[in-house]
Amino acid sequence: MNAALRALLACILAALLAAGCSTVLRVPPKIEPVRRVELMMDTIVSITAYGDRETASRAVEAAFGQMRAIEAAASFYRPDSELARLNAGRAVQPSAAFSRLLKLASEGYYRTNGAFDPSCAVLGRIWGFHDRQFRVPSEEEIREAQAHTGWDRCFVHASEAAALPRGAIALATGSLIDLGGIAGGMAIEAAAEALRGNGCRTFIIDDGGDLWMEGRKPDGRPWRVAVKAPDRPGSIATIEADQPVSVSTSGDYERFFEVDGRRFAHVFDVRSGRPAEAFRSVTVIASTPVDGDLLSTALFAMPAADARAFATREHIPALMFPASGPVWLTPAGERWFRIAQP
Amino acid sequence: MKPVPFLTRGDLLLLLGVAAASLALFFLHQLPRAAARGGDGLVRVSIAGSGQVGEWLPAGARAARVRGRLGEMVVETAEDGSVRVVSSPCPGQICVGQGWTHAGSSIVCVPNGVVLTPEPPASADGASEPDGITR
Repeated sequence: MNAALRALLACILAALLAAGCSTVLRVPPKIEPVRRVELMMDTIVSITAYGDRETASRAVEAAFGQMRAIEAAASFYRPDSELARLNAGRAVQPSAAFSRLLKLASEGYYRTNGAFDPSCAVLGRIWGFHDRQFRVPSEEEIREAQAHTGWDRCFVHASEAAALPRGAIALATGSLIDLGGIAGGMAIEAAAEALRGNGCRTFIIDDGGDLWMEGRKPDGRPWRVAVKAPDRPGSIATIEADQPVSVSTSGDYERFFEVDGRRFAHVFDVRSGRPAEAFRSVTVIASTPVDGDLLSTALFAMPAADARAFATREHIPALMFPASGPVWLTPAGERWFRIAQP
Repeated sequence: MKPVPFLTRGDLLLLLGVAAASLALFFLHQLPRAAARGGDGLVRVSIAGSGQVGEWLPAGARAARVRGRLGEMVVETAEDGSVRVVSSPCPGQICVGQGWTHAGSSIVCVPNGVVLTPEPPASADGASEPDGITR
């Protein structure tokens, strides 16, 4: 074999070897996140965190610890929670976390003109959402339950409160509150603080479909979230988060029952005493998990026109999928949502 | 003069060796990426409290067994990656009643502590995979 052919062959071999090696060298090694899933607050909670494995694992464990503490205070179903004791008619000395939760609920109630109202729990009971014995109550039952709704009057009156131990709170007779529309947000907030406090800067927390994300993934891409389509498998939009944001959705397709083809969801319009029916789903982007949680619930509970006006006035990025008619994006939402092709 | 062959046996061996090494490098790098991403037709299994993730059921599994807190549940997966619970030791049997569940939803059996999540379809480069689904 002459020298020229040998040189040519050597070049071909070198090119082949370089091609194989470049496949390995071009793409940085995939960094696996630490991911953990738990069943909590009657839903699935997952935390995915990037960082060195030991730090991220410790941070995720601390975050779940914080979420469990919020659950212990605010769970509707755990009989030993502060909320359950309050709902059982007992006077409760609220912990700092529970006091903050009540304060946030109060602010949410007044900010949304009562559309976000944890005292709707009394309606959830008569419609059978608490014991899963679903039923459509009579008009009289609804009116009776409505008499016990209203955040501003569900706690014992100041004159009666004097009889309570110092610093204790109690519910008015017949009242019931469910902080599920806000406790998840507060739990996410506490988890995010724990992650940051333990040296984790890049993470996503998913509390039953309500999400909070920070940082950019190691490959430089932002976190990417799909909005579930309420009427079919797949998604109706995607969001790319290049800054810390909360993405929360309220919908009628996960907790509901049907009678004669009519769907009754678990979020109530306190004015009618009936499950809200204006939307199939409402997705909100917010700067705090608590805001995202309560605003998606409040908008879902409002009549469609009120929800549009409120979201526009308050500059809320929101995607609304109405019971009938086209999907509607708020002006502030145009920057965030990429509508998917059906 | 004795003719010189175009390629000696040594040249051929060297050529084949380098080609094999190049292909091996390429596939060894690609396969773990595909596996880590999950992919179409896989169902993720999580067991509450165990911190256990990353266990997968393949598509088309007729009677896969998943051990939860109360005992063993029998699970079936379809070719498109949807999943259903055939039997479960839980008292309410809500997970069994949920029927076939597709990507974007999960089957959650709270008493047995088992979550079954069909994975959304993965794109070739991973660009369209969401990191979360709000619902």
